[in-house]
Amino acid sequence: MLLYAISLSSCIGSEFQREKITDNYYLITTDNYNKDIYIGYKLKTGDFVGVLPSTVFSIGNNEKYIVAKQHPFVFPVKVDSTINYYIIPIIRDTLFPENGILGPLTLEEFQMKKEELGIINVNFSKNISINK
Amino acid sequence: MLLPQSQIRQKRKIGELTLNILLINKRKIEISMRTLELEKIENKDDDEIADAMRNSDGISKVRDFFYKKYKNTKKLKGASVTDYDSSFGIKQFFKAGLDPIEQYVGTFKVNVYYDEKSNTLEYTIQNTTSMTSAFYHASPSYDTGGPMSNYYQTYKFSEKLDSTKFKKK
Repeated sequence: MLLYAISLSSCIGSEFQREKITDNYYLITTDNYNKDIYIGYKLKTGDFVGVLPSTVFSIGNNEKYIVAKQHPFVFPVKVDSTINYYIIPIIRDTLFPENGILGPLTLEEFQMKKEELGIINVNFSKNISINK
Repeated sequence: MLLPQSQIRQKRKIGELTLNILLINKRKIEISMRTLELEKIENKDDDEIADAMRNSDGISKVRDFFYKKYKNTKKLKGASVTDYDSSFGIKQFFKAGLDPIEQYVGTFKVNVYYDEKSNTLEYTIQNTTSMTSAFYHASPSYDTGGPMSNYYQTYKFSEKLDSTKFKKK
């Protein structure tokens, strides 16, 4: 009976793990922080939609912006070693959370944009070690 | 001997098919073997799995979201929804009914892109099946590429854009 229950419900229950960054923005993984780690936005319906695709491995934020480091990930093949930098404006109650995102940026471009936006003090406060 | 999908649908319609766990498990094993073979291979239109997913609750939700998102957009070029996550909970389990494919795939995320040339919506379903999922979150996941590690599947299908849905949302 137990085996039946396990078998029948093998995929019941969210396989996604979500960790709130701020407001409606979440760090989401489908594979226990192996490769598929992205930033998602919680909609009014309770569903989530992508903001920044995998593989996000470092983030930080203040009340207006989220900063993120990402390795491009071609599902399901490999994680590239390139590092892309992003600045994500925090938008409340929207169907277009991808609007206004700055990136992919190089480190130099990222530092310049941070200065322009006056967020030089926003640092990467969370790092995730991933399998490449 | 397993019944073909067309007969299962027909029997379901006329109420002949009751919950048959053995049938579901047989189909799940069959699909499991097939998905292992198809790892890293993209499934195309008319594939049985893509066809089952087309009518799933998760796809309905992302479809509704696409039409709601672009309701007031005149030019759809570049329109997309990415990484929409569809959790397969108790509600979805009962909605899936006897469909073993939908139950097997379970939780997945979807990308939808509008193709201006063909006036279609292109769906890409990405599913990660880990030991955590298989043992209902009571086991860790691995990504070694060996037995018991995570594996990733991609399914694709397309459908014609239905402009009338923009008016309904």
